[in-house]
Amino acid sequence: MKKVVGKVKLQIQAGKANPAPPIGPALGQHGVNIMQFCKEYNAKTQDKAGSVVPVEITVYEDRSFDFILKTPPAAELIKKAANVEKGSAAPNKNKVGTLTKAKVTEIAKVKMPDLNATTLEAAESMIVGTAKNMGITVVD
Amino acid sequence: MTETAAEPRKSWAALEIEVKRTDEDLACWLLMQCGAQGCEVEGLDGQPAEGGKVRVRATFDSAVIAQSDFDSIIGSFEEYGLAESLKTLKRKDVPEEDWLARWKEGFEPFRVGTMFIVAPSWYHPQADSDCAGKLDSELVGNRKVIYIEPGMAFGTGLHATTQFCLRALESFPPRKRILDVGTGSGILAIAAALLCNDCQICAVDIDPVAVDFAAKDLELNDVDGRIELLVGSTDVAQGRLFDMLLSNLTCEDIVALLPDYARLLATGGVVLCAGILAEKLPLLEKAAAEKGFQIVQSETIGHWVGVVLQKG
Repeated sequence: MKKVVGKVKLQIQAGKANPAPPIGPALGQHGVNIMQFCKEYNAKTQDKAGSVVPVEITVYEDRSFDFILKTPPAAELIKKAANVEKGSAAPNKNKVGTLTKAKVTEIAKVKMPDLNATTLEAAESMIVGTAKNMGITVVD
Repeated sequence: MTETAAEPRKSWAALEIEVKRTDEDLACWLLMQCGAQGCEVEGLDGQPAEGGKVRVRATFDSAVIAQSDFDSIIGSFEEYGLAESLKTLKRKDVPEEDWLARWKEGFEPFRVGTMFIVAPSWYHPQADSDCAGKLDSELVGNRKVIYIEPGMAFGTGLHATTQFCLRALESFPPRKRILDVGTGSGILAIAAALLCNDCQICAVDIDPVAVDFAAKDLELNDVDGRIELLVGSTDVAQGRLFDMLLSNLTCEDIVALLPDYARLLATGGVVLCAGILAEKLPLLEKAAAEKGFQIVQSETIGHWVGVVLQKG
């Protein structure tokens, strides 16, 4: 088994990886072939263009790497599901949209692998919290 | 190996902020909503793996952060309950460096197919390095040598997708009029030029940085006078006709460009396509059939597929 020498976590736009920061400096320090990572990441995320697709890269001692894609940020999934441009500047006063409970469940299922939640209910509760912070009301 | 880093040309503005690990997703999202082009998340020394804090470093595609973006970030963190983290907010500069320097240390000449050797620039006979002109003659044999300055452009020759295209040029020799779409380092256009003295080759890339690198590689291989290099995509070649297209992109890019390819190609012309993940091949097969292309060669290399399309 190859020895792991580093882990790098990045949040970048799907299909748009390039060697500029943050990717260049983050991977360059580990001696990784940056262009190869960009090629692979873009090929795997091009169909999600317009979304942020976080990625966790594992670097081995021979400078090879592999990576796993994470789920998009909850706030982005909520924004899309509620069809709003952005969250509210004053979420307690001004509501900018609504989200059905069914959508909350859907998002919780998508996010479940990356959330620190052991049950779907706990994940749903986190999604509801984020939605409230964005000024989005959850409705039946 | 010689020092090949380009002169610093640019710097990026960055912001660093420490947030709870459970808030890293939200913090990154807020920073990217306010103009950051991406974020790196680092663990902090002494912090537990579960809970604890992380450092988020967001970079912006400009030397300074616009005051309006900065104000938006402050406002967003306050609104989303992350105001406490703002105490750790710091501005940073990220000057351009040769981030590939460490990786380059292990880059040695290698064979591709039966016709090519790809060698890093420091093996070029005129390079200022200890290994200048010292390519192993047994390794080279009667192959064509492509010198590449491994830099911030796609196409070092190491990737399976580039190697497919180089090998495909053996079974589909370069034709009279060639367009290399998304040329990156210029490696495929250079290969075509080395195989065909009187081909008319045009290479395009939407990334001006890649075109700068490609220009240097063309010069390095002494083919700069034989390849027309342009910033742009298929749009800059509209109205012209080609016999061969080189297209090492992604599946989605190729599918989107197929209507242009159909217009730009002469009947019987071929497209050497690479950069297609095996799982996405059906998308290309369907689009190619709809546009009147036939798949005349395909090869699977790991999780990648290379395909040669011919216009009927």
